[in-house]
Amino acid sequence: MRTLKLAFASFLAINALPAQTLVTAGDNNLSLARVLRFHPEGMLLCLPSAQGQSLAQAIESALDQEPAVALQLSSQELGLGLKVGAELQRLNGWSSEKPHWALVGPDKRVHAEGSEPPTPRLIFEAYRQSPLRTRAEGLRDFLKINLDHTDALARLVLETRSLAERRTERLLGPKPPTPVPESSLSKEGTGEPKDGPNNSIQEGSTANIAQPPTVLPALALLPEEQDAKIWDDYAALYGRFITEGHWLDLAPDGSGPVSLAGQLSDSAEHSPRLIALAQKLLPIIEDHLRNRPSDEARWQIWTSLRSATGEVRPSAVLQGLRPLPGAQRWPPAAALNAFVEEAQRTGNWHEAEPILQTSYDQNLEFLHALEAASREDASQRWIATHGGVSNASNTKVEMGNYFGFGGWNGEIALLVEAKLRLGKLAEADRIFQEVYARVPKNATAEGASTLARTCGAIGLAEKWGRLAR
Amino acid sequence: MVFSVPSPCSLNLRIISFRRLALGFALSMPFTLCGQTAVMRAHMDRNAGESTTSPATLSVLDAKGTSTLSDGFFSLLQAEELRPYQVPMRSYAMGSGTGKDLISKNHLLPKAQWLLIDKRSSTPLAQGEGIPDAQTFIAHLKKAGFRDLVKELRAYLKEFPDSLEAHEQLLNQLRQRGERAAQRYMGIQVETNRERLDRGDFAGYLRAETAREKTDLSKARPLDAVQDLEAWAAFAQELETIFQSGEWREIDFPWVRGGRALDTASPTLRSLYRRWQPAVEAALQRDPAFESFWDLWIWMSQVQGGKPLAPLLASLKPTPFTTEQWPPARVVQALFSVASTQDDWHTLENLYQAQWDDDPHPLREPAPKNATISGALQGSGQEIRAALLDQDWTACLAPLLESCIRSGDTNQADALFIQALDASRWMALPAKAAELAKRCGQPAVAARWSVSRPTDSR
Repeated sequence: MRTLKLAFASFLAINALPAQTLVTAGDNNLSLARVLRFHPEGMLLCLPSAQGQSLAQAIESALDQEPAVALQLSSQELGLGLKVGAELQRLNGWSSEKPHWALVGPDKRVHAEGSEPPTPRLIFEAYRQSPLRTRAEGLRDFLKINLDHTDALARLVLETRSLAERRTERLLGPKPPTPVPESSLSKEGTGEPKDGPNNSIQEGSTANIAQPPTVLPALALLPEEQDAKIWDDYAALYGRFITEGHWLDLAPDGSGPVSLAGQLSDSAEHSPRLIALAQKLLPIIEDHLRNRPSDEARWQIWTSLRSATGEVRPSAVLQGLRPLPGAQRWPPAAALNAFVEEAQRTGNWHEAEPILQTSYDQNLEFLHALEAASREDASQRWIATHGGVSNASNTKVEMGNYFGFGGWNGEIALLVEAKLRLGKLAEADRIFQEVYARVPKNATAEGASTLARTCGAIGLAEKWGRLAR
Repeated sequence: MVFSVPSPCSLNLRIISFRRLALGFALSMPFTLCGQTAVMRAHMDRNAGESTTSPATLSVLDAKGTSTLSDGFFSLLQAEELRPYQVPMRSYAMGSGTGKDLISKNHLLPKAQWLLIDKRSSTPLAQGEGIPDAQTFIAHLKKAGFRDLVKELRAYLKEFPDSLEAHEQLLNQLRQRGERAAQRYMGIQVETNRERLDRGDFAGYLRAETAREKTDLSKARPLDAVQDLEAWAAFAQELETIFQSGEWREIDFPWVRGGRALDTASPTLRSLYRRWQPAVEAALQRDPAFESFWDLWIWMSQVQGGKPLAPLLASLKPTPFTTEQWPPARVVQALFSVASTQDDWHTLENLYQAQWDDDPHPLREPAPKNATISGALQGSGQEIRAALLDQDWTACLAPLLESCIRSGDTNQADALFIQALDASRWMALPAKAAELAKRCGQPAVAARWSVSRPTDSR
């Protein structure tokens, strides 16, 4: 399970993904060459008929099925009224009476086309008869000559991972939502209203707090034959990526294909060979993690392997280490997600709670530093424009809410959840009140109330819920 | 009155490299953030390595028209006993606005004095009027929480010799000490970007973030062999160890992005970089898009007075079947600081020309029919268009024109300039281009460009 931070990192790294499709809707300056420029492997383009019949959905569905799925191709529908659509129409001499599709190479050469929905087999065979090479094939060709090329290997790992995940999903169905989402904001309450509606809060008691589900639904494991067929290729490449040390070229900000490729597939838990691989690789990752425990990217990779094996606690990794001289916190902030995921997995929040608390305290301190800095800036601006000494030091500072700053966000929700799960209701209430005083919004109160209900703290749920108008 | 803080960072977004995020915001909202230097400093402090953040700042208020007190403190901080403590110092002139503000905020009498101000609480921890002796001042520092981190990190490494983080922090501490000592011997002061912000020089901060600047060492005293070793031996030795062990590939060198570029004056460092640059080039062969390797390679090249770009670029094999620009845009931008020969400039011209030809550019797009050509901004649509044109100028056309001129291809520069002016009808362009030509030592081109108008409005 990933927290918001990881999700955001993935979002940032999206440009490192192997293919990119330009949004053509409404852009009348876009040329066909530019659309195809991002697809050296070729792509399926389609045009609707003048009556609005479209093949887009049929093509997308065909591309998701065997054997076409192996090609990992993208498809895109171009608007008839747009320059780029007209260009494709002209290129093929298509009439507007019927919808059309075409397999087009990066040089605008059309390798197959039709006006009926293509079958997955037809797409696959047309592609195989063309001189086009898939991204994975292109990368493999390149790696035969450039054996040690980290970037290319990372991208090939991502390509094979994506294909294997699609195949697994087709076989087992889409991944169910994780049992305890990070902020638990959308979950229905599971506990009984045992602490009563009178808002009485008792510190330290966990008796009246519903524990999170500790028994996770049984995971479907792929049978050996399917496992080998789907995951062998990825397992070999991933194993090589880790054991040869390619994964260590991690960008300081954790972005880029190497960081993404370093994380074992989310679907690994369904693959016996990936679980075995994770068990084998985990000690290598842990050695490197211990040498650099403040590296969030290394923790992400460790977490991805640990999720597959279900073994080892983050505190065990840090055992025997000491914080660096000058470090302001221990365990390092980078390990926060790992501890939170451990807590969500096991239902035991004892280790995560102090780390979340430190994080909250430091964030609060930073918030105050920003307020002071803002006053200083205001004062300087005052001096620059009015001269003399400013009166800004007594001025109220509005911190803004660009990213829910200081508001009810994932990390604060997690801290409150930790407090609730551990029965520290008064502390949970205090934190909520601090945040609500800063951001007195309905969504804040509603989110907190839902969380409290989920954790079985019904009294608090009702108290906080009453603040939502 | 309520002040709004444009907050580029949230509690959930610490994962993002502040440098990129803050810069992105700063560039997209320059008018808003220009008055936000303290806010930027707060972000920088938060994102600085924990052990590189000082617990307090020394604020020195000089009497009007003198710098006696800050000069005295500058010397004191360079004293052998004080070198282990990296004390950040900010000087204020008594009559200045910031000086008055310091006095008012701390309820001081208007006279020359110093204060050691706690970073967290912003309250003075110690203060005085004259320069204290080293031991007294060290006592104040220790009380404020300053530590000899080099000593502590060395002890830590005895216990955990494989700790990359300890090596990294030790290297950074030694780097800071080296920079201070080198500045003292060379008789110059080179500002870091953080210090630019301390001075309120937001424009300088942005300039340094977007384009790597060369440090002007022409007025510096040369380092003699003893001074060179005195300043840099410890840092060089640690760096050498890290290169020998191969750990350098996993280590972040923040000083190649934000350090004081003093290494050119050090024979020790020049020789070390010459020895190890091939290792960095070999790593680039494996991972040519990895920006950390490029940062280090560019730093090493800059120190050695440049290195031919074309052979290295020709030897690297970018990954096929990707959509990303090759070489990465930030790398191409940074290569500007190491281009030294006509060949280098020609290489850069080709890279920028490819960018200019391949990607869509507001400066090449025909101006909308109702676009004003007077240069005056009218309405938000005009403001946005002007901002986009300016961004395109800074990111692509300006470096392309500069590399054309410096590689001797003035005709191509002329053609590109006219193409952009005719298409965009952006009336700020002639002045900007003329200034660039003048900077590149082409006054005739500058004169021609400065009076140019779009072809159909002549």
